[in-house]
Amino acid sequence: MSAGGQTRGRAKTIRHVGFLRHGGFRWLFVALVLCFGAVWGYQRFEPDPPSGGSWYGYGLGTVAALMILWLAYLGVRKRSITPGTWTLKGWVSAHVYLGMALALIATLHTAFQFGWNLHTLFYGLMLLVIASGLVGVILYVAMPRVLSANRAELTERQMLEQIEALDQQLHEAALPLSSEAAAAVRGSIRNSPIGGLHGRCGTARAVSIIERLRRGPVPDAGLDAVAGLLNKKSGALARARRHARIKAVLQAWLYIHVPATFAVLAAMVAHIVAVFFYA
Amino acid sequence: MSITLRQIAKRADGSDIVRSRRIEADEATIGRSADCDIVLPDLAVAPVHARLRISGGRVGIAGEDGAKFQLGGKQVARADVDPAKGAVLEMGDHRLTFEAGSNPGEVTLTVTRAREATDGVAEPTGIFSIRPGLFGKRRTAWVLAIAVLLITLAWPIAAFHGQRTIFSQPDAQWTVGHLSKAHAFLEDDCQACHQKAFVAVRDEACMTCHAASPDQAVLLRVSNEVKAKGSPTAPLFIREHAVHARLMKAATPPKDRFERFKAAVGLKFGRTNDRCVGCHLEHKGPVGFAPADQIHLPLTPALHPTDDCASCHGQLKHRLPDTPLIDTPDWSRHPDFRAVNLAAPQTRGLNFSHAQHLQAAGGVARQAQSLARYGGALDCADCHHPATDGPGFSPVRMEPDCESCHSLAIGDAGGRMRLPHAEPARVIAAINSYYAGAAAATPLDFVARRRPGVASEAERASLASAGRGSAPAQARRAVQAAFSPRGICFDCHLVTPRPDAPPLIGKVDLTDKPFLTRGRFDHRTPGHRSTDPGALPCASCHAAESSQRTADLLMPHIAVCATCHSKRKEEVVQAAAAECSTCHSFHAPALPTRKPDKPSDAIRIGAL
Repeated sequence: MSAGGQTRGRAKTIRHVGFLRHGGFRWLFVALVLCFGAVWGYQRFEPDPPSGGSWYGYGLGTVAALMILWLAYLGVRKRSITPGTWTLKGWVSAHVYLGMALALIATLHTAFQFGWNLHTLFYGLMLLVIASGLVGVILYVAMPRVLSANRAELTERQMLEQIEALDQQLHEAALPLSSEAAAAVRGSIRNSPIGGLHGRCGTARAVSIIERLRRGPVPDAGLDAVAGLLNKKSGALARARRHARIKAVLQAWLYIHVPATFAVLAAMVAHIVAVFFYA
Repeated sequence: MSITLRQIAKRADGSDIVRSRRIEADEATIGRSADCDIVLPDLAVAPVHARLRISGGRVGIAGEDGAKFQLGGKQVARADVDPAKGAVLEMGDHRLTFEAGSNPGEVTLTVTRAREATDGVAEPTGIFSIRPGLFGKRRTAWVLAIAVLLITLAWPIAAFHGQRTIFSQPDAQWTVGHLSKAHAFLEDDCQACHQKAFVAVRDEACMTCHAASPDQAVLLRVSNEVKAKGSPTAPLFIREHAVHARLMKAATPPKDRFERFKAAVGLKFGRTNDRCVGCHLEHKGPVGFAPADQIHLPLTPALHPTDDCASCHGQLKHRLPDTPLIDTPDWSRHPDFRAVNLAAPQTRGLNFSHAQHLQAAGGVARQAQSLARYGGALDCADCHHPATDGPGFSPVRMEPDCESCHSLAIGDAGGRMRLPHAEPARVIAAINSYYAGAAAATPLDFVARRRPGVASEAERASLASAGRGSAPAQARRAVQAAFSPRGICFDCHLVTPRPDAPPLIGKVDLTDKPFLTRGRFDHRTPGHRSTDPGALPCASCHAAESSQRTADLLMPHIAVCATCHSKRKEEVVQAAAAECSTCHSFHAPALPTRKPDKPSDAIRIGAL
């Protein structure tokens, strides 16, 4: 990569505005206005005892339902990255701030009445979605820094190539060794997964076996080279695994956020039908 | 004898490199060690893994030190193969293929790598992404959404339409709060009130139990049915405040555009304020996660009147021109009491003066002093007794309340006979039978037995003459005396003599119906009870001491009520709040509004 390219990249980084700061916190402002307006209206118009069934309660419920539909629509909208006033970034920014405002508006709509019923289930699921979304926001703000620090300028492919090269060297270096050492190295090569659930890593096992053999009665000069290579591989594996873990964390919250959103949409339909079914 | 060895390796671009060489020997070693004849750079292969021997056109392979290899999918330690037929061995990641050579007795051995030495790392694409397998986002999302819809929506709706086979109360999950204690027995029967899907609760549902009926038997039957279902009490039987159409006409129209909009939307969805549930709200019990029996529930549905009294009664004449009611925008403009049930307002059929009876001195007072029962001048409580079962007083009756002074005993000083307090004919018959009897020798002496005052001279004269002549003549004179001025009957009753018939007694009309039908005064209320310490005496409301005429209705003006009500404690000791509901209630205008948590018997039995 040329020096010029690096400069351009950095200049771009400086000009980058995250989704939180998008449009000079435009959507934060909108969300705050919405929240203060809703609270003011609640104090001004909500009868005593408050109820989701008062006219103001219905108003809050309608606004909240429309917000939920719009927020869920991000799942469709995100698949088309279009520029212009309604950029995807602007959309995400609004999604985040209006999503947080929804928590307050929906809470006012509940009139603080909770119990073992469909309605509180709906509310709880909605809070789950918002909470997981908040986790996502925090991760998206905090994790990229951690991720790039761990990456040390390596691409994912480079990380894997580094490990593969080490494997190649390990293979060569282990060929003259005893069967036990060779099997250990083979275990390291064959069974050192990076992601997913796995048992004891082959490399870790190889490190301890080779270490034991080196301290044994007939140490082989070849073992030292293999041990060095295994140490290097351990480091490379650890980096790759950390990378995978961070990326998994960045994706994991969506495994709650998205399915719970579907459950919320279903519960919303049930809530609205139930409320008017037994009007 | 020789072996042609062809070792094939892959280039980075995927093409093959073939290295060939001949091994001029009958025997060869195979292994990882560089010392072997056939070197397999394979960590799964032992340094010296196997030894092969060619004899008679066949190839024998034997594992060293028990090392094994695969032949035809089986793990074997030794094998004997015919290269002419071709044979494939697998050793570690390598495949060894034996074929007959170009010359007889020669063998060609092709060694290929079946698997790369370093392909331990899985395919790079996606390795840094979550591969969720069974719990993919999309699948989980749909499963959750469908589960929620089935459990919380489809199931209760199916149950509503009669599919009550699986469990019983799926619609319980729709509840928005507990019912009041009065209705708690309906908590697992949503359809008792919510009778039609998507139709707001209608009055018919409430009236199933609460309709007031003039037929006590119907009320009793409904009571028993409701109690059998688990109700803690009989239902309150209620009636409309007024005819529904007139009620609607009397109500104030929506004040502004928004109110009109709300009313229109309510009408569209059948959620009008004129329904029972417009004011009586259920499911307002505390919501929470505790079971119903562990939380404090209200006794009755929450009451949230949609309108106050003044909103209709403030300008009632304006909207209902034919109403007999006077507009009452507030307490200070409440009209004065208008007594009803006054059948004979002029006399009430008696000669009676409250003033005379309550005088501290005088004939009545003296008479009362002489009787142990009174021991002094009369007061109200001597004749008026609180009713045992109502808010007022029992009607005054001649025998218990008057007769101790106005005695009906006749005969001599011993009072051998008591005249019946009955129709004139029976009185006359009693007098006649007296004179017809053996005791008739003694003329009737009314004087000694007449307590109120002293008998007149005329009476004495008539009595004296009664003592003479025949028995019928004596009787006739005695009857005449009784019904004449100063006579025993004439004193109190309005007597009209008739020539050929018993005298006519004016109809006594001491009605026991309340004079106020739209707001009954309750003498039992603490503060109204004259027997309570600190309570006001009767005279502070009723001007009895100055009442001369029987027909005087001693009902105070509302201004008298106002001396205590709506006053502050600093102004008067008996100060009490006064709202419309203090004296009136919506469903029973003649009764005060039931205090919360206190059932009213009058409403309960439907006696409005």
